[in-house]
Amino acid sequence: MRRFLDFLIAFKEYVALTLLVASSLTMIAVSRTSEVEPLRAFATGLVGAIQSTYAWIPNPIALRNENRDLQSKSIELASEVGRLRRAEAENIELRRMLGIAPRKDWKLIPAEVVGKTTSFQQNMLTINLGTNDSIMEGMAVVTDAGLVGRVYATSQNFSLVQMLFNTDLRVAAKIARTRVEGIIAWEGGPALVMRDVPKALDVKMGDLIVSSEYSTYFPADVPIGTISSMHPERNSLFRSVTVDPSVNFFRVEHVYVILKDASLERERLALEAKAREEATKQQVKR
Amino acid sequence: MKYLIYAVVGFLLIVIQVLVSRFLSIAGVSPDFLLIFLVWVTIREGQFAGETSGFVLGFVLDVMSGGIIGAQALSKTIACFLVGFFYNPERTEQNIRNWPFLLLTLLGSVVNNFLYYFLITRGSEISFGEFAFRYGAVGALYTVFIAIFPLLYWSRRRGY
Repeated sequence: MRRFLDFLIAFKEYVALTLLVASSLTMIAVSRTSEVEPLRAFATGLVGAIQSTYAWIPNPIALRNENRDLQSKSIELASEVGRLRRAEAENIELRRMLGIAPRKDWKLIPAEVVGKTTSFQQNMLTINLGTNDSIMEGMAVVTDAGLVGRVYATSQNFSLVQMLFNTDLRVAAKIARTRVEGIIAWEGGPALVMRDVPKALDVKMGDLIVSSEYSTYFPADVPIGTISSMHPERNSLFRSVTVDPSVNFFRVEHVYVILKDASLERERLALEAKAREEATKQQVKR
Repeated sequence: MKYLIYAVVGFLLIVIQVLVSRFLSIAGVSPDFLLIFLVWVTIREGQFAGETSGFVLGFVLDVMSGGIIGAQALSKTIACFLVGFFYNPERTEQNIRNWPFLLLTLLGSVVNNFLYYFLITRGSEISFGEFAFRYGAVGALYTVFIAIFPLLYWSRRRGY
């Protein structure tokens, strides 16, 4: 025993390293499980509370840029509103004629960005809404320009939002003009990437990318960005498409959280189907 | 008492890292204040204290930044362990107040960033090499640049 203790003391650096590395790897393995959620919620609340104390300090450069963006956006939107009103009336009439149920309007809750973590590629926003404001994990977050991300963790008064510029987030998307489907992801560059787009399909530079109906978290048709370049993949029938995001993630100061209704049902259905599948598998095993 | 002070300073640096990094972020790359402090602790106290501090403070950073829990803990533990090989109790002050501090910060930062990016890009289609070079290497240089300021402070404070 004595010799064993002497050994441990003599090699304490290596023993500690082994234990610490093993503990870290265990934590990484359980990082996404529900047991960790209370800890994450506590941290979100703590960080949000601290960030909100200095969120009132204006950032003149960000404000000037945001103001400039808003001015050009408002001019753009003013002309679009008239066109959309006519299109909406036409759409309602056509839907009525075809017997298609009207689309549900989104219920938006405005929120203020009280903090940003833009280090280490796990880019997050902290907003001043939490479970007290009916915010739940998985809800979509948007601005007038388009999709920002989704709620990742919540505390009572704050929420952590995973931005599209986050390596862990994937979004089912489509090209608005041709409805070609794909998955949008961020791979560390200045833009987003949509991979495995068949070369044969109609895709053009400048095409608008929007969220797809297949997305579990995001409502359909939220703008994500526009195609800025296309890259054929070697010896493949596919190409990857680079997408310039509609939202400037480094300037965003105000966002809207989309309260879920129908998409929650979809999530529940997906979970129930998965549970049924697992139960069937277990029965087969028995 | 000394270790309690280290813990408090480390925690304050994590808060600064999480809260203030966006003001210092250049094209998404931020300096790692906590790593600078951990290198300092390792040079001063040795490999064991360094790796243990790296694990504890890395874990707190993981929780507070909303990242993968355990990723920073692992990368900072190993970075401090490697920096700890250069611990020399007879040259502690010289190492802290001179260029070895910057070299060890660079070593720790490169190891930390590459390990961290390996962990967050695993299982995805993202190119680890490109990602690690673009953010890991540039981030390490940015961290070393920031480390110049405490180095200047310490060297002047003690009359060097």
